[in-house]
Amino acid sequence: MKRGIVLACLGLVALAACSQPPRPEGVVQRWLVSLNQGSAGRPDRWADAAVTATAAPWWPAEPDHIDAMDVGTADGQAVPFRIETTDGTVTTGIATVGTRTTADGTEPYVASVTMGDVPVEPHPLGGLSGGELAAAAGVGIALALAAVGVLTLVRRSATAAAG
Amino acid sequence: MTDGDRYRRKLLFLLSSATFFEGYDTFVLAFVLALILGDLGGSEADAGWIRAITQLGAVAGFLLAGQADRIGRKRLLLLTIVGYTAATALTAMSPGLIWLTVAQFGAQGFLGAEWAVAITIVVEEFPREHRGRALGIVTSMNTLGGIFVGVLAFVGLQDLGPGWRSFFLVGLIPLALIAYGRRSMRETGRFEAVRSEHLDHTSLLEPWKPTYRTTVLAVGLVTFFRYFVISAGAFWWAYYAQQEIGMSVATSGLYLAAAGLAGASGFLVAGRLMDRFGRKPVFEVYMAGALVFGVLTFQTTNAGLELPALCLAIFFGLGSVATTSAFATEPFPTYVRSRAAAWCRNAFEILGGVLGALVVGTLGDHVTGAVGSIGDAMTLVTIAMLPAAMVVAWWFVPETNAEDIEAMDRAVLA
Repeated sequence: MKRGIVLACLGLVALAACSQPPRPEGVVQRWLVSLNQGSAGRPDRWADAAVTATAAPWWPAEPDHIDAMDVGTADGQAVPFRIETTDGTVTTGIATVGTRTTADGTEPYVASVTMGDVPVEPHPLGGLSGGELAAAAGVGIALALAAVGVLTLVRRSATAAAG
Repeated sequence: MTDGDRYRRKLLFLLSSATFFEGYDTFVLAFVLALILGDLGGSEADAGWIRAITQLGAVAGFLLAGQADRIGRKRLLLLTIVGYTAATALTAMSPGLIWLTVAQFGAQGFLGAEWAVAITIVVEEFPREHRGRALGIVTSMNTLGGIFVGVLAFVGLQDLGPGWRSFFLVGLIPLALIAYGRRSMRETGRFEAVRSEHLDHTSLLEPWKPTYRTTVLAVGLVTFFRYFVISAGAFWWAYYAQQEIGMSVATSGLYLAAAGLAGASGFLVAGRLMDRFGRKPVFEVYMAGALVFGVLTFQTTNAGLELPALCLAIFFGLGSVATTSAFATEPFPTYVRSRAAAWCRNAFEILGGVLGALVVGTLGDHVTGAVGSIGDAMTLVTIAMLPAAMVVAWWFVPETNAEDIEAMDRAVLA
């Protein structure tokens, strides 16, 4: 039981270590998604009301008011974005991501937006490298070897106990 | 057709209905997640924790599943159906996320026990030559339950008055099964025989005695590795399709329904192949297929390619449960079978399910994840976990295709 708890704690620590500083593209995506969920989306979690009003003066609208949204690749903290609403209106702009302090600590948010005609090439999500794939395969081999090792020991001890 | 055949057909219907709603409940939360968060409030991070906590309910359910060796299979099956129905009704009435999480924790607990006892009943009531097929049918209903969620989403159940709550009200249907099942269902013959020998009062830890220990651990690890991937895929696919491919909720529902329908044949094919070629070779082929098509499903962003990839991922990935269900039950004599199955499923498999969804969500978080994409995180997890399941199954899980359960029980009773 103790070993299990230690393993679980190690796993949680490893999981926490997997996180990284916030991606500006992700912050802008969350903000746009929240705009598309009506008032329940609470975009104030991702941007001040004035910023939301600048980029999406129609908000709050019914959920799914946005027909298409694209988030481009960040240049530093500046992220180009494009919104097409269900009435066919297309708006583009650049969102600048910063950090703010709240009761829960420091969090990323969309600090400002500049609306204008900017090109937006959708930021490709993911795209695994050969190294990442090899690392995953390596983890798989390590897991298999560990399992085989444990089962071999268990089988030996069970045979000894039964004999 | 003999009376026995007729009874087994009825039994198959009842058990299939139970596993159908197990599949329904697995997918329903993932599909209406956005609606729930919109109605009750909450973030994606909250959603990840809700999934993890509710899945832990099934781990707790293993204590309940183990009671099948004490109170009998029939009584426990009916009890779990009533419990699940009540928990689902409470979910539909949720005023907030905490209530919903607690209610779903209960539902998962009852479902976990229900699944374990349903598989045990199949193994005990069907003759060896039909067992694989029966397992295939009962487990395939799990996928049909998932398909049903997709169909309901596509036809717009969420647009009815109760909104997302409508999906959980559908979960009240199993109550009707009680009226049918209570009268027509009998206790399994093998359990009655074991009870008459007073072997039914065994410890929950009985499967861990030296005779069974290696097999329980091997099957447990196989189910852990497998379900780590399958559960994460089932939970995150809709999100991946909607957020990373760009499908609407209705289209993703249609995809799931169509792919699930095609993929459900994976259970039936597995059932037949298991009886012909053995459990282990079929498992290996299914895991290899799940690896290839699982990676393809979460790597393509082409909506046209997504559908065939998803069909085959479901065919192999979910279809493999027919073999793991046999692994978890057939190597064990009747007096300990339910407990062994409960350990394999509710302790190992569900733990894999909890961790799988959590790890993929953490790695793939668009803002803070190390990988930054749910599709890529799923791919890495698939590559890391499924080969491990294949290695352990091949070397440590016994082949039970020709296992004579009656002879095994006679040996124990002697």
